[in-house]
Amino acid sequence: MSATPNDGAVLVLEDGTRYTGRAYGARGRTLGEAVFATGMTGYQETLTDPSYAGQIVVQTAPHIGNTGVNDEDPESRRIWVAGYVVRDPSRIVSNFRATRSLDDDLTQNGIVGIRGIDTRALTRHLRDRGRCGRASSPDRMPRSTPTPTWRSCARPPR
Amino acid sequence: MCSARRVRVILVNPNPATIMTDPDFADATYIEPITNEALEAIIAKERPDAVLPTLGGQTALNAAIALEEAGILDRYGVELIGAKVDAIKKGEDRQIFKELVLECGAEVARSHIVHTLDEALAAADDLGYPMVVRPSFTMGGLGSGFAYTHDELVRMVGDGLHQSPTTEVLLEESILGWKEYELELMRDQADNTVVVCSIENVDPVGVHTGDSITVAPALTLTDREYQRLRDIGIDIIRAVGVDTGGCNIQFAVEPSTGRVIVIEMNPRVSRSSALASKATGFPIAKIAAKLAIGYRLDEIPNDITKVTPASFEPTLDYVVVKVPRFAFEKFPSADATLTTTMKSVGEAMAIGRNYATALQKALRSLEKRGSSFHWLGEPAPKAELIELAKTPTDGRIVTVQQALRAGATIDELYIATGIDPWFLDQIVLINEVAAEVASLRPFDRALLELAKDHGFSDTQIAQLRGLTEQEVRNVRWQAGVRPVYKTVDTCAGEFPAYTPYHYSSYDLETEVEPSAGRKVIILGSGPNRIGQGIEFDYSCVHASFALHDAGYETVMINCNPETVSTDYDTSDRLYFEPLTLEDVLEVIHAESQSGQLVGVIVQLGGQTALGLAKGLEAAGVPILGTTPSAIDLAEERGLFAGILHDAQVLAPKNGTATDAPSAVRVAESIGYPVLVRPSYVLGGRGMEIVYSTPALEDYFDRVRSEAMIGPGSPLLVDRFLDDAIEIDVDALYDGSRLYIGGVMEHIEEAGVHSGDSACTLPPVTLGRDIIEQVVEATRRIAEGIGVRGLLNVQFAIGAGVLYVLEANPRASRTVPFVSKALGIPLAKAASLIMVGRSIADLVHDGLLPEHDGSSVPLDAPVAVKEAVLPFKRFRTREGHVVDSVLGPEMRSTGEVMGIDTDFPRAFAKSQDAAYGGLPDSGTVFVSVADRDKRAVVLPVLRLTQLGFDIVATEGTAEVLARNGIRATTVRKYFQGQVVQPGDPSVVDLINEGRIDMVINTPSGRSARADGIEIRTATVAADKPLFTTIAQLGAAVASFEAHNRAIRVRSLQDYARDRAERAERAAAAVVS
Amino acid sequence: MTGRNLSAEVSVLADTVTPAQGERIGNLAILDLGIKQATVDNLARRGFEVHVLPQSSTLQDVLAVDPVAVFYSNGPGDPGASDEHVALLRGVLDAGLPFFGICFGNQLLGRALGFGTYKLPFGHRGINQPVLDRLTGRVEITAHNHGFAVDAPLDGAVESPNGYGRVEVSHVDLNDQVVEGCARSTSPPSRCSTTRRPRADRTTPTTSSTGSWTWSSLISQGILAGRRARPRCPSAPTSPASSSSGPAPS
Repeated sequence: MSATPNDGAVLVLEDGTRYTGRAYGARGRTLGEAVFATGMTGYQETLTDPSYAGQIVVQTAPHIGNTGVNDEDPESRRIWVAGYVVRDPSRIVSNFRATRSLDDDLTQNGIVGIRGIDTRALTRHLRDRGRCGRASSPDRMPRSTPTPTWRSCARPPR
Repeated sequence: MCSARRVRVILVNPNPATIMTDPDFADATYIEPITNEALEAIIAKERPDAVLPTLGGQTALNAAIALEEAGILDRYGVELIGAKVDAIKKGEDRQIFKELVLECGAEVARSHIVHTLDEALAAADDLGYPMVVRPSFTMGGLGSGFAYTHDELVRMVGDGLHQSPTTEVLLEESILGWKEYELELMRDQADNTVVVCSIENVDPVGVHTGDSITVAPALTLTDREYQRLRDIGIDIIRAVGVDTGGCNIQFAVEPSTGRVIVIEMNPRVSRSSALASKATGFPIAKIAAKLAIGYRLDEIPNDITKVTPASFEPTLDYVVVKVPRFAFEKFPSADATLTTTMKSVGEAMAIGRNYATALQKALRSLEKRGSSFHWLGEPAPKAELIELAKTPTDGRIVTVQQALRAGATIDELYIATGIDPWFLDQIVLINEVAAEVASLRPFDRALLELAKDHGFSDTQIAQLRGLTEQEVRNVRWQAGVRPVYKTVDTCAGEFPAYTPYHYSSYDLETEVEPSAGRKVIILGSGPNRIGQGIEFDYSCVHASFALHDAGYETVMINCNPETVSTDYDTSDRLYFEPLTLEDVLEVIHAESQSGQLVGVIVQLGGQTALGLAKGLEAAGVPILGTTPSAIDLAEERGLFAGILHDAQVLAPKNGTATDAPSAVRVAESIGYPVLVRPSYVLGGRGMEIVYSTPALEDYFDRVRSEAMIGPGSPLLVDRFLDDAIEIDVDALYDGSRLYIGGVMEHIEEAGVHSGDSACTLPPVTLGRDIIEQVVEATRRIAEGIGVRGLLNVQFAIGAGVLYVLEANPRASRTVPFVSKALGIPLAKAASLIMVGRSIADLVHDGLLPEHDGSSVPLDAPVAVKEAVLPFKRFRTREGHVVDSVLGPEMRSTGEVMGIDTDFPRAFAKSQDAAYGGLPDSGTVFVSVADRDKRAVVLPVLRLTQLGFDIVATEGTAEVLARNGIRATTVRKYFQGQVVQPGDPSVVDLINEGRIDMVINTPSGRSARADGIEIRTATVAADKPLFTTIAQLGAAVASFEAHNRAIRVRSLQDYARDRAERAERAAAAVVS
Repeated sequence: MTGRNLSAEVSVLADTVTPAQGERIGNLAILDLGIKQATVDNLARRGFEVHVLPQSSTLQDVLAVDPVAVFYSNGPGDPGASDEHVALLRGVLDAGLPFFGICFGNQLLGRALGFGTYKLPFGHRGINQPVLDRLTGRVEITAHNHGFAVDAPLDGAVESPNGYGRVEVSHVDLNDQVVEGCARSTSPPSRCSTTRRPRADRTTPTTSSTGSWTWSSLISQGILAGRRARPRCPSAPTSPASSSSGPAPS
């Protein structure tokens, strides 16, 4: 219940805005275009949808992971999101089709995430100002550098 | 909204308490009974083009079908819009509905119809145990239930086949314990269909959705499962043919296989629609009305975002929890087990950024001791709690929480209750956080934030930490831990929201926009319950309108999703928050950051709001209107006695006591019978008429567990005035002038709670002299207390002497009734007085008519208010209806009004509206207490002249015979007696439908126990019942009225009459 | 995300074939730009033998499948950075094959027809997006993940800048008037496509998941009717409304 040491994580946007929360999924660092998704169901479909590749997805719905993860619902062979931002990830799994928890799935797939931040504030910020972002955690294990074709986001940093 | 398209709107509803029947809201408002007769008269007068029945619940739908079947719609060329009759029937006829669902590729519960026991046993092989047994065409669901074993099945089917007039029993597979969901959908004439809201019932199938704890959005479905429900829902709404409007569909999902069964659908706006509207910000009823007159969803803008259309599906970034409010304490013999028959009387809703927060906020919104989770003492043994949790009842969720505290596992509770493990784990989480708070961890910001993000109140934290609520709050404020306010915006932040509909959360960013206005905060009345219903909401809403028009910025705080006060467009800002001191103080703090807070109104939201007055004042919050210390002058016995003394007004002899021995001393010195009641209660909770010392001691025994009486809250003991007439007055006072809203005469004698009693305005049997005394007494009391705003005073006249029973310096529940009967906007005026306007100003500005309600001209109409009583809903464990004798504790759940040129006509309408009318002929059963025998003779004589036959018990029959009235004698009913064929008791006759009306006044001495069986049988048989001679007198007067054609007039017509009358009077003065 | 091409990261590396179910219509060649499994399943259920080809495929690879139609999937990245795919698409159009696409695929069609694409301020990412089918006047609730959109004029039909005939916007997102679908309305063969991704991909197809089902049924109707190169678009006489009401046709 209490924050364990090295549990902290931070999401930093290109304009310098920071959101401090706790680590979720794999530990590490990731870079991507921060976007918000408003669907209240279907997180497994969202995570495995290839069109989210390169994007750090912010779920506006606060509770994610309630029904765990199963083998029928993935939209492709792997999770594609570059990072995952959730307010209240589920502690347990409750669904008859679940084969494992979302936490395990994210960790095993090396997806770096952050939890416990004000996702609505973040969403409104992204809406009002455009987006770009990086997520990092104190556990310094940097991922591979961006591919050469990546360019900085439309808005220059402040 | 309809006037935007220049549609003339005519509304019909006999309920005066609702905002709907405000004459401001329609072109013609008819407070008339919903019967074919009245509706036809209205249709004939108004010649509407169409009738819209889908916004008035089952009542409206049934009325529409009745009109259609009687050919009335055809006769006048009126179209039915919103849903066609066959669409309505498709939804309601079980057989047609079943076929329709199957055609859509979905399932209903499997069933078999059997006519013999052998067939039943064969069906058992298919359906398995437990199964549902439903004998066909028996009355009131008699004989239905669950059969868990072979033997039970044999017994129930045997009985059922015997009871059923067609020797037929329906056996259905049991879906008890399955997960239960509801979808609210809307469809327009272009076949655009959207799902507005998904609702998951925390209590599984077996508990009516109205009695379940529910959550939006659904939280334990995968997308695949959700889409399946959505697709079925859309197919059904299309197949049923709801072509313009809303629809509610209920599903059951088997938790281990995902199998989906459609339980039922309602092709109309329903109780859940209100919840769905508040939960999502999507105003279902408003849009349904537009769809009904031909708009498409994509043509209607989303009010909240302004730039997107209504043809979308709202998405939530928060969690909404609804918890039901029960009133079982009012019906102690009723079986409090929750079943598929709805028993709750109201509900509270809460919004939070996670389930734990929303749940805890909702529980504390119920304002009921014991509703919230607690960690006091040691929990009872785990096995005991698990066993208790198996039965769904009021407060079960707390039992579950305690069981988890006691070491029960999620699995054990899942098996016992059927509640999904995810929800159970959330309670485990809450218990874990509680353990953290109670631990030796420093009481710092991090700990407070942890507790707050799981919905813990300052009170709960104080309890866990061994501190006072105020100490916790001080630490919290010092640490800077305060809530922020988010917005319900229908789109999870995708688009900016322009409507300030807020809820609190302990998050990073607040969305409360600074504003420069002068703000008035209005406290609502919380969840509906007996004694505090929508009548108070009427006053709050009107205050909001009036203050807004006067240039103030209005801020509403309430937690009731069923009210107009929680519509986002009623006030300038809406905070959907619990009405507790903590939550209200936080809203006040947030709103005080900008603009100017003029003050808070606490006198319009019933006892809920009033109860916060002292706490708010102590926190330095400006209270508008009558001050808390003035309120005390009225509520505190000793102080009020002083006021009455100075005013030279009499009160019945009275005293107070804090325990049984002192109460007995007081009662014996005053003289029995006495009326006892705990102080500071609403709705007469705990009130009783006590006839002797043993009975008084018995009363103390019974109320001990509820801890209502103690040193700080004494018991009030008053001389009870037998045979007195009760009078109610609603008035305004501004510090110098009294303005009477209305003087109401009760039809039942004093001793029946005024909320349960029928009353008339203006009084019909009181002389002018008495009324003048009443007005003067009211004025002195208002002055003595120091009222600024509304005042309600209750009087009684016994043996020609006027007594004051009580005074309430706040809005009363009769305010809407009075306002509509006389056309005086009392609540609006009160709110303006509270911000400093004078009555003279308001009269000058035309808001208040020049002549107040103390003298009503002879050609003005008479209005009768009748209470609606819920006795049929509440049955004992054996299935009997609970006793329906009215007493000092209020039990009605609502009211209707009848208005016409004279009392008999108005009374007849009120009976039609409340009970579907009185019979024109038939057999009347009479059995009255000795003291009523003299008074009953004339009314019964009149009944015989009108053609009724009389049946009576021996004693009453004798008296009637001596007075020349023929009556058939019938045996009384005694428990345990042998039934002789050919010599039925009166209860047998009632059950057989051979009695059409019952007059039974209980005998005073024996605590009204006599006649319980007779009365309960009458209510179960849906026949009119009179338990006082006064009611009977009114009824007889109204029989005459019934023979004449009904006349209908709208409130606007009455307003025009008043205006004309005023002109004539002015002209007369001039000439 | 502007300027990024991620197709290679997400695409399959070798051809994958999913057999047709029910009455077989023919082979469908799909360029995998990040396709969702649900889409493949959906199309196979309609009677297509679905060939998912790697994004690096050439026109010859596509034609070698002997397709009755070509489909471009949804996927990540900036359509403005997918010149090779646009060129391939133009080859498909020039070859007179029926084409349809979802999401990213629609954006590439827009480019192939000669329109530009632009980045949306914050995108559409949800399952509640209202899209108006301008022909039928019906609004469908759909699932999106879009960062980009086609820049085509909303009113009236225009000449395709790349010479593919008259084109008009057939579908519009009602929240912000973003182009969600365009259709070619003159012969030679018309194409329909839309940005939106169907809801309820996995359930029995019903009225709410019109998406690719509508077009594939249109394509298949056209093909079954023997008019291989003339699939019907929403602008054509056969009213799609009839095919989208009631339970799914078998």
